[in-house]
Amino acid sequence: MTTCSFRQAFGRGVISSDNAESLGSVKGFVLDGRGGQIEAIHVDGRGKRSTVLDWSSVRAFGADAVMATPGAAPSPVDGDHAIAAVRGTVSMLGARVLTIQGQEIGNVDDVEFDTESGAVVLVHTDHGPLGGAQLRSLGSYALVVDTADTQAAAPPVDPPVSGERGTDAYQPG
Amino acid sequence: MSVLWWLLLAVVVAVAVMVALVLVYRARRSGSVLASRPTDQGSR
Amino acid sequence: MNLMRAGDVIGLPVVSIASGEDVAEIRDVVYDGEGHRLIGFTLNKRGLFAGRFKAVLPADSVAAIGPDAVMVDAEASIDQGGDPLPGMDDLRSARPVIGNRVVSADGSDLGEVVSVILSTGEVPQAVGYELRSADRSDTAFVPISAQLALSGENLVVPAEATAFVREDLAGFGAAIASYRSPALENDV
Repeated sequence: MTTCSFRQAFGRGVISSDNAESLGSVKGFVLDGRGGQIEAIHVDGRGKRSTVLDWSSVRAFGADAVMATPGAAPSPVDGDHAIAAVRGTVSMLGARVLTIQGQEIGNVDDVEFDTESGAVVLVHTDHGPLGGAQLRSLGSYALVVDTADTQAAAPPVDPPVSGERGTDAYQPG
Repeated sequence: MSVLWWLLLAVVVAVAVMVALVLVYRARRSGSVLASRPTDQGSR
Repeated sequence: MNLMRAGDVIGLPVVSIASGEDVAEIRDVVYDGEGHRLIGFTLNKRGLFAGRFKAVLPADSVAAIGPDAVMVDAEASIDQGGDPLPGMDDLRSARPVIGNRVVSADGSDLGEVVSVILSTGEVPQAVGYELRSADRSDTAFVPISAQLALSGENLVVPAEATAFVREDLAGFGAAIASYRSPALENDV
C-alpha cells in the first residue's frame, strides 16, 4: 500500500490522461461524513465556483502528479457537504479531535491516505497518531474519534518524514 | 465646542448601555443546577 | 468513577457522534432531588448571541459526558417535542441547589452548597455536594445519601455523612464508592 499525506499532496498537478492537459492542482480534499474516505479532490476555483474531481476518476495518485482517468473532467462542486469542504467550513486539517467520551485530544496535523483506494489510513494529531478505522465523523465542530477502539488503533510507526513516504512512483498495471 | 461635548457624552452613554445589555444577556444565558421532583410530576 | 462538577457541564457544547457537529450548548443541569439521578439538560443554541433552545436533552439520550463536550449519538437525541420529560415538563417547581445552606442532622452548620458533583458513567447521577464552609474559605465534599433532605433553602445531611467529607474531588471519588447507600445501589 502506498500512502501520501495531505500536506505532501497539496499543489500537485492534476493531469488528464487523454491529452495531457492540466485540469488543475490539488487544492483540498472532500471527505465522506466519517472523515475516513476521500470522495473527491478540489482541483480549481473557490467556494461555490470550485470544481472537484471525483475519486473514482483518479487513475493514479502519483508522487508528482495526479492522473485522471480517460474522459474524466472535473465537475462543479455540488451539495452542502462538498461545498462545506471546499470552503473550509469542514476541514480535516486543523480539526479539533474529540473522543466519543467527550474529551478533546488536540488538533489534526496531517492525514495519510492510501493512494489507490483514497481511504484515510492515519490521522496525525499533536497527541499522536490515530487509525483510520477509529474515525466516527467529521463535522464543522470536530473530528469525532473512538480511542477505545484499540483494534482500529494506528500501528506503531514513526511519523512520516517528508520525502520518504508517499513519493513512490506510480506503478502501471 | 459644547456640541462636541454633548456628542462625546452621547457616545459614552451608548457604549455603557450596550455593555450593560451584553452583561444582562450573558447572565440570562448562563444556566443553573436544578433539583426537580419527577415523582411529583408523575402523580398529577 | 469519573466525577464532574455540574457547573462545569454548563456551557459545554452538545456534539453529535454521527455528524461531528455542535448541535447545542448546555444551559441548565436538572437532576432528581430525591432519586439523585440526572434527568436531563435544558439547552442554548450555539453562538455568542444565540438564544434558548426549546428542545431539551434527556440524560438517557446522552452518550457520554466528558470534560470538553456532552456527546449524543445523533442530532435526533435532542428531544424536539413529544411527551414532556418527567421532571422537566415544569421547571418552575425545580429548585436551584447552589447556595443552599447545609446543616447536619445534629444541627451544625456545615456551610453552603457551591456545586453538585455528578458521576458521568453509564447512568449519570448526582453523587455529592461541594460545600463551602461558613467560617473558612475552603471547600469540602459530602456524598449524597438516601437520608439527605433538600428543600431549596436547606440541605440536611445525615450525621454519619459528615464523617465522609473529603477535601478534594479525587479522594471523594474513592470515598464515595465505599459509602454508597443501599438506596443508590438499587437505583443503578
